[in-house]
Amino acid sequence: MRCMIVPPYLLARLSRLDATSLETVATAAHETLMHTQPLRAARQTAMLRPAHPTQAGHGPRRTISDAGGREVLPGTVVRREGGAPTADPAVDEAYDGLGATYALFADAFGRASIDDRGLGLDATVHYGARYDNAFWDGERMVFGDGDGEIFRRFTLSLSVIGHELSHGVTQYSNPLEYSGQSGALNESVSDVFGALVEQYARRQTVAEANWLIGAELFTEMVEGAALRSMKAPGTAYDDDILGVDPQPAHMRDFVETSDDNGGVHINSGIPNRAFYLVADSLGGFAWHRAGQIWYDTITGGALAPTATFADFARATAGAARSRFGGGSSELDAVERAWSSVGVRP
Amino acid sequence: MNITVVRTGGFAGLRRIWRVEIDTASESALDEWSQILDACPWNEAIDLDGDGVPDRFVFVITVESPPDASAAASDAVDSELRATLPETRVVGPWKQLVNRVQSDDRADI
Repeated sequence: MRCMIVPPYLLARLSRLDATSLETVATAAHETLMHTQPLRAARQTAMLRPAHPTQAGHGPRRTISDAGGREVLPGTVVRREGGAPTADPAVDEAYDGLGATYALFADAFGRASIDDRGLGLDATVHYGARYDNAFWDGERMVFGDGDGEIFRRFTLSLSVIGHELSHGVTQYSNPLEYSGQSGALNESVSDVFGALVEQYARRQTVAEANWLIGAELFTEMVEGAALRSMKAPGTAYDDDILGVDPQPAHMRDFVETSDDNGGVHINSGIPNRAFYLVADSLGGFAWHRAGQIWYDTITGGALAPTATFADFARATAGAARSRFGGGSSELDAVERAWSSVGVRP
Repeated sequence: MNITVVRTGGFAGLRRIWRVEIDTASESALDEWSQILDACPWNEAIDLDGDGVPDRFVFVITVESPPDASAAASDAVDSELRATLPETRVVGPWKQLVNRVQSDDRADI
C-alpha cells in the first residue's frame, strides 16, 4: 500500500488554485493526485489546467499508446496526430474514435476538446491481459482487449470510445460524484454523448440510430445485442451466464444496491430513457436539439456534484427554456420525457 | 475454507463471481493459500468503497473459515475475512489473491 504524505483533500484544494504564482504548486499537486491512490472526492473535484491551451478549431491532438498487455500506463506511443495508420486495428480504432468524438463536440457544440481549451486526447490500448473493460482514469482513455469469451476488444465500439471521452467532458464541465444517483447521471451523460458520437459519425437520425451502447463488444457466444439500450433499458441482453440486463427504465424500478458504486451502470437506464424520449419526440438528428439541451445542462453550472435525477431533470428543463423558450416544443418534450420515466423535477 | 471474489462495476456494470473451495485437509494447499491471505493487509481494506474513477471495477473478497493466523491478524468477525476494494487498490498481494481465485475457478469449470 502506498502512503501519502499530503492528505488527498489538501492536494485537491491545491490543484484547484488559480493564482498564477501558485500555478506550479497547483500543477504539481494535481500530478501527485493523479499518481497516488485516488480518493473519490479528490478525483471528482480536481480540475486540470492545461499548461498551453490551444485555440478552438485547431483540431484534435491525438496520441495513442500501447500497454503491451501489461497494466502499466501510459505504455509506448505508437501513433501521434497525423501519423499513418498502423497494422494494429485497436490503435487505429482508438485514433479514429478519438477523432469522431472530437468532431461531435467541436461541430455540434463548438467545444474545443474535452476541456474546451484544446487538451490533447490520449488513449492506451492493449491494457492488461484478457482485460474486459475500458475506463477513463482522469487523464486518458484506457482500453482492454476483452477476454475473448464474453467481450471482444473495447475499441471496436465507437459508442464506448465516445462514452469514455465524455467522462472527461463531465470531469471538466460539471463533475458529478461517482456514486448513487449523481454517479448514474455521470454514467448516463457518457452514454448520451457516446451514442451521439456514433450517430454523428454515421449521420443517423433518431429513427435510424440503434440507441445501443457497446453493440460490437459481445462475442458470438453471448445472447445479447449490446451492453445497454437507451431506447429500451433492460432489454440489451438475456444470457445464460450474464443473466438479464438489469437496467430499469422507470423510477419505480430504481435499484438500491451497494454494488457498482451504488448501481451507477444500472440506474443510468432511467435518465438514458428520458434522453431517448426527448430525442424521439423532437425527431431529426438527436445532437441538434436534445443533445444541445443536455450539453447546455452539463456546461451551465446549475448542477451540484451530488445532483439527483430530479435536480438533473430540473436543470434540463431550465436549459430547454433558456435556449428554446418557455412555450417551446423542446421544453414540452423535456417535461413529458421526465414525467414518462417517473422523475418529478 | 471458501474464498469468493465478487466483481461489480466496470463499463459493462456486470456482476461476476469467482469462488474456490480449499481442502483444509491438504496441508500443502492450505499453506499455499495461507501465505497469500496473510500477505494481504485486511485491516486496511475493510469498508473501502469505490474510488470514483469512472468505469473501473469494485471487488468484494470474502474468506469463510480462514486460517487462524489470518483471522487473528485482521480482527475477523464470525470466522470471516471480508474486504471491499476499488480496482486501483487491487495490487500486490490483493492482485495475487484475485488472480489466483479467478484462474482456479476457471480451471474448475
